[in-house]
Amino acid sequence: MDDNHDEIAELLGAYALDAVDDHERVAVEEHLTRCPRCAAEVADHREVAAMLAFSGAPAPEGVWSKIVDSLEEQPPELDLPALVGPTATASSTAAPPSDGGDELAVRRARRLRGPVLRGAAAAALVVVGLVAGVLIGNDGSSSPGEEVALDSIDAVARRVLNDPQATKVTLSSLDGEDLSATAAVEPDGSGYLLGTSLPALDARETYQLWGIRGETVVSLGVLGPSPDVVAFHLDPSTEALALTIEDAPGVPVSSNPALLVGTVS
Amino acid sequence: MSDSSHPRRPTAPKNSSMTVEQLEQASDATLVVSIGRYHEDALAEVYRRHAGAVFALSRRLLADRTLAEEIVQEVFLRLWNDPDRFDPQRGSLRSYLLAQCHGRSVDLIRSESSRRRREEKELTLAAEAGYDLEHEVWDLAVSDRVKGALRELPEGEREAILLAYFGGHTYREVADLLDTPEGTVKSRIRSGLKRMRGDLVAVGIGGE
Repeated sequence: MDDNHDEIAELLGAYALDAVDDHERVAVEEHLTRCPRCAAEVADHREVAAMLAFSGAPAPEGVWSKIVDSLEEQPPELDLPALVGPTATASSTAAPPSDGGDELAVRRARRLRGPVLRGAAAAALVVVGLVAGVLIGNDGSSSPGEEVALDSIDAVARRVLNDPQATKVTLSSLDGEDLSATAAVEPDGSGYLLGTSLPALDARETYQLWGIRGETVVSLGVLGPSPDVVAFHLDPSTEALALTIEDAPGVPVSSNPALLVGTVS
Repeated sequence: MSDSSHPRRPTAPKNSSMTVEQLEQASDATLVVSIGRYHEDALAEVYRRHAGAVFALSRRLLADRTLAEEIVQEVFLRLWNDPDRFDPQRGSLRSYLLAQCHGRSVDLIRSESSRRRREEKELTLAAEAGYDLEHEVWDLAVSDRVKGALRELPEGEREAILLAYFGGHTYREVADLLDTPEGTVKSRIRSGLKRMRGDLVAVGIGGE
């Protein structure tokens, strides 16, 4: 617990009613990220405020149609080329009023990336069980699949990467971060991902690879916290690959933004 | 107040996932998950449930119908664009939406009229420091229990909460208006909110 806990706690009521100055608001919000007790207190205060505010009035006329109009100006569906293009985060579509530009750009980016991993939950659930066994992580923590020595996988993967018959996929960051991974897929669907440049994660987290076709998102496997070379199997209709960071031991359906994305051409 | 009583259910959304009945029965948290999947019908249902309260609060704070409508629009678009910001573990959707609404409204109040407000402080004191504001709450609050809990508060706490929340004042401004030390006002707001919550939970409201 930090030194100024009591001082901040005294502000919580005023904070919940937006009755603090800016510098105090910043201090409180910073504290709330670290103090669940205070965060819970603020939530309680807001519930009380909400009860005070409630007046049972009808919704304003005409506002809903304005909202719908704005929604239609938003990017409606997953657009794979836009997703991997460098301009994905700088869409020029309409925005809610009175927000800072930076924050909007971030939101749009999230929104664009959102559907990558939020669609088609059912399909993902079915397939995740089927393909998980194909993966071989180098840390031994991620896969119940057949044991193959890392060296031989590594060798196979590098051979496939150099195979002119194989499809290469470069996964890159949507946020312009200096991160990437390369995958190569043979005509029979055998794929290999080289994750050597990926930073190691906390042991409670794992990388997870996803295949995307239209709105269908399928888990291709859980890669563990520090993947080197992993094998997977790819359905030929897959249009793109995406990599996310999830809580170990992985998830059937991701709600996280994609760290890296690459189209399968 | 508007003539045609009920907020109409928005027209049939193109991206529909649930039947009308399912929508009506869905919890707020379920609807927000659905919004995360770009289902407009879920947003429409949330709007139907809560837009009235959001509108009433912003209009009360801003005393301007057009600005209040803009706030409503902004609050719901924000939910659409960023549904993950709502954490059901942290309270109800209504309190979340109202908090967003209150924050944005107060921002507007402070940015557009802070100078004017300072000049009119004397007047504000007369108009808001006591009975009128409180009276408005009596009129508008739907729940006798909420009114009761507010009535039970010590006067200093009640005044401080009403001036901060409905007057859009910071606690420092409230201290000024009431000629009370800042620290006292700060504590009174907090203890008053806690006391109200305790009273409301005791009668079965807002506990969970």
